[in-house]
Amino acid sequence: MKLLSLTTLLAMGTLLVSHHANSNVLFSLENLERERASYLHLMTNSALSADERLRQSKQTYRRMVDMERMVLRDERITQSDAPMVKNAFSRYELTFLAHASAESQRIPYSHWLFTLNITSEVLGRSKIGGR
Amino acid sequence: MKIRKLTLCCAMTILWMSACSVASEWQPQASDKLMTLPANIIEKRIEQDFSASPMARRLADLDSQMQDKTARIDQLQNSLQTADQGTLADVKYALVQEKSDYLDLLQESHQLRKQASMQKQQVYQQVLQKFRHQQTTANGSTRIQLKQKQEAALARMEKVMAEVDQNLIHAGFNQTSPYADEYAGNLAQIEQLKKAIASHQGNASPTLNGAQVSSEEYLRQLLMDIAMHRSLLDQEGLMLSYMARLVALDAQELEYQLAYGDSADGNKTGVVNQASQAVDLFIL
Repeated sequence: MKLLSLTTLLAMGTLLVSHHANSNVLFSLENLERERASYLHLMTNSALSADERLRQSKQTYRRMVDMERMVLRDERITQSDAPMVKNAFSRYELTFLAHASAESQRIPYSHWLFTLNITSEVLGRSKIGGR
Repeated sequence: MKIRKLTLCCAMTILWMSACSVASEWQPQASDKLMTLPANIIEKRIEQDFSASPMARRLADLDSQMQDKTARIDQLQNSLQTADQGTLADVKYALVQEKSDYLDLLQESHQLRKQASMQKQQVYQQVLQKFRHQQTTANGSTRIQLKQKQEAALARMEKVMAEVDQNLIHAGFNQTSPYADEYAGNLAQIEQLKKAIASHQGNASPTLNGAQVSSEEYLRQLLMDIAMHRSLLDQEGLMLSYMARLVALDAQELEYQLAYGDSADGNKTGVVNQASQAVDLFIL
């Protein structure tokens, strides 16, 4: 009887651990990706006024900071070898935009453009055409 | 009749009997479930599995039968001292028979112990092989590389954290975010939980002579113990063959005695009437 209840306890413990391990491990990374996409969209949206863009970008920046920290402290993420995780860690400059931009002393948007080598000169040389 | 039986007994003792009962089998497997256990528990589990097997039951049965035979042989050896001429041959015959039976039991027990030892060795080798495979896969896996990258990225992030917090203050966020507050509160508790897990007895490494060792080292030690045990069993096999030889010689000697009697009397030829001894009958 004692052995049976111990086995049940062990099974419950294992279930809890596996539930923790199997819950969507990419949740925090997916949120970060969405927030960054939203930030970049915000910065490139010509329909917004400068004040509105600044106000909204501050809010987004704050959320990005939190989410980047969450992703880097989330031990479950590395349990997945999905391409999304591999890309995220192989391109620190682009994934962790808020912190990487602080390193380079630029605002996040400028840092993103700089990392992708999108400069005024490159844009000036570019031509419009179909792919 | 006795002579025929003795000859049969002699032949049976010299020949190794290899036929073991199917009912005395034990077939352990290095299952995936077994691999999840700590090395010292794997050992206990295998021993427990063996104890419950038909092979272990047969060994216990043989052991009990051998004890009975030993007592009977002791009894007959005592009778040998006191037996008179008329019953001596019967006692000797019974003694050889009992010794032969005892050797049959001992041989079966020896074979089973050897088989069990080999099977244990195979299981531990399989476990060790799987364990090494797991270790190699885990060390070279993408997940480990990702983990290392995450740690490097975290270290890099921590260097600029204060600066980023300063940027947030400049942006007008004077209060820390709910996540940052909660995180700081939880961090110390998580560390305590991690420490408790690391120091938990159930998570402790197996020990050898009081010293903690890795699972691989523990398994290697188990294999070494089995190798030593098998070496002793080989020695025991040699002893068994010498004992069988002695019983065969006893049986042969008894067979000759029953067939030809004692050598002292057997060589005497009967008195033959000769012509020289009868000469006097004719000349007087």
